[in-house]
Amino acid sequence: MARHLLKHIGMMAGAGMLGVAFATSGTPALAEEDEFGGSPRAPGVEITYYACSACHSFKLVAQQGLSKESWREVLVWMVEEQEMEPMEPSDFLVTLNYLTKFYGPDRLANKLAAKR
Amino acid sequence: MTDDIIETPPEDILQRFEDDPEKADLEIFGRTPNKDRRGFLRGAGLTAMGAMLGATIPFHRNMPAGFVPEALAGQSTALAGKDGLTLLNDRPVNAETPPHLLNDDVTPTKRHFIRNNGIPPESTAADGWNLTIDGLVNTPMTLSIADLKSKFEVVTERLVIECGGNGRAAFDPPARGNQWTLGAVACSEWTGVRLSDVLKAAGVKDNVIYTAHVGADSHLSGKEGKLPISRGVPIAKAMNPHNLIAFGMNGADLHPMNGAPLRLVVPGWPGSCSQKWLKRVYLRDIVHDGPKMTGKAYRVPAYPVEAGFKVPKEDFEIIEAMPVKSLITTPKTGIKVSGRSLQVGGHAWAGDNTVDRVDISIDFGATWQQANLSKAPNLYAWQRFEHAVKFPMAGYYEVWARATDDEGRSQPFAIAWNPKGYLNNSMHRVSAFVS
Repeated sequence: MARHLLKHIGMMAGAGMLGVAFATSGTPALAEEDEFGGSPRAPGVEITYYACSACHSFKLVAQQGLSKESWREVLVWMVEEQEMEPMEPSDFLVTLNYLTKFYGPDRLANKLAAKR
Repeated sequence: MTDDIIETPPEDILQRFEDDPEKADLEIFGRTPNKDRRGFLRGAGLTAMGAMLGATIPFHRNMPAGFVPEALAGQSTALAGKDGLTLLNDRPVNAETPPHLLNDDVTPTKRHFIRNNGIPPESTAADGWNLTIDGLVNTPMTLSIADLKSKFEVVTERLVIECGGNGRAAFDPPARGNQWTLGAVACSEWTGVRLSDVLKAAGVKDNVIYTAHVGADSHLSGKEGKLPISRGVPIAKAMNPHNLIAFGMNGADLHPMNGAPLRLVVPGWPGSCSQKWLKRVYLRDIVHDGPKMTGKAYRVPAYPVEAGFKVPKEDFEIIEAMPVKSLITTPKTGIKVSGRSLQVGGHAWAGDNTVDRVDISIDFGATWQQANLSKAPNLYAWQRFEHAVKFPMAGYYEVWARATDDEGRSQPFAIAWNPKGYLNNSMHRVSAFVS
C-alpha cells in the first residue's frame, strides 16, 4: 500500500480503480458499466480485470488487439518478468480466453462499446 | 452542502490541497483530523469524502490529515500542467498530443507527450538530487544539479524526442503496447550540460562500449529495487555533443511527467534512451542488458518481414537512430476549405540526419510539389515546412507530406511491419473538404 500514500499532489501516479462520477452527474455512485474499467460483462471479466489492474490501468489492456498466442506470451511475460502473481491453470485459461475474445485482433470490446 | 462538494472541480481541489492541505481538508470535506493527525475527529468530513468516492472507507481511522484519496487525485492530476493531450493510459500515465497542437516550432511543455514505463518518483525536488557517474570510468563522480551547472558548460538546444512506438496504432495485425497514433513526438528547448563533457570529466576507460541509464521511477508491481526501464546507447552515440543532461525545459524546470528535475535527452534515437528522473549513468564493456534492452523491447527484425511474421528472438536488433519523418500540424485533418487554396505546414526530422526536402501531394501521391523547408536552428531540432496548395475544383482531398533525409531516404507509404510496432514513419495525411 505504500505507493498509494502519495505525498506530492502533483506527482500522483494515476487513477485509482474506482470510477468516480464528478460534477456532470451530481450522483457520486459508481457507474455500473465502469466497474471493470468498461470491459464487457462476461465470464472471466472479474479475474482478468483484477489481475491486470493490480499494476497498471485497464486502459492499457483495452487498447490491445492481440491473438491468443500473443496474449499467452504477454501473460507468461507478466508472470516471469513483471511480478504478476502466478495464476491457477484454470484461472489462466479463463483470463486468456477473455482477453482473446474481447481484446483480440477484431477488438470486439470496442465494437460492443460503440453499440451501447 | 453535499451538492456543493460534488460540484467542486477536481483541479481546484488539488490546487487547494497543494496550497494548504489541512485547510483544504476542512473546507472541502469538512474534515478535522484527530490529535495524531490521522482519521476524522468525531467523524467530521468522513461522509463527505465517502460520498465523493462513492464508497465507504473501512480504514478511515488511519487516513493521514491533508490527504487526497488517490481515486480522486489520480483522475484529475494525470495530465496536470498539460493541455489537449490524449490520455492512452492513466496508470502509468501515457499521453500523446494531437498533430494540430504540435504546430509550434518549440513544443510548449504543456504539449509535450508523456511516456511512462513505471511509477514516477514521489519527489522531484532539485534540492538534494544527485547524479552518479560510475562503472568503467577513471573517476566515479556524484554531482548535484548545482555541481552540473557550475562545473560544465550549460547549453540550450531544441531537440526532438520521439517514442520508438509512435505510430503503433496503425499496425495490422496490431502490435502490443500503448497504441500511439501520431503525437508521441515533440521538439522542446532543453537546457543542460553535455553528457559527453560529464563523461570526459569522469574519464571513459578504453574498454567501454555502452552506457547504462538509471532513473528514480519504480516498477509498476511496486517491487522494491526492481527497475521499470534502464536503457543505454553505444559509447560513440553517447559522446555526441547534442546529448544533454537536462535540468531546464523551455526556460523553466522540467515538468514532473517529463522527468523533473533531471533527465537525459538523447535526440534522434528512441525516447527510451532519454532516461527520465536521471540518477545514474554507468559505463559498461558489454551491450547494456537492463530492463527493456533485451528480448524484443525496442528491437526490430534484422530483415524485412511480412505482417504477422513470427520472428525468432535472436533475429531482433536494437533500434538505433529513428527514421526520417514529417508531421502536418496545420491544418487540422478534416478541414473545410472555401476557396481553392490552403496553407499547409508542419515539421520534419530524421534521426541522426537532417531533412533535405519535404514534398506535398494532393492527388494521393501521383504528383508532388516541393515545400519550403527551413534549416534547423541546431542539429536534432525539427525543421519547419510550409507550402500553399491549390485545389483545381471542389471535392475531397488528402494532403500528404513526404520528407527525404540527406542520404536520400524518404518516408514510405506503407508501414514496414515489425512485431512490436516500432518505427512507423509512413507518410502523414490530412483530409480537406473543398467547397
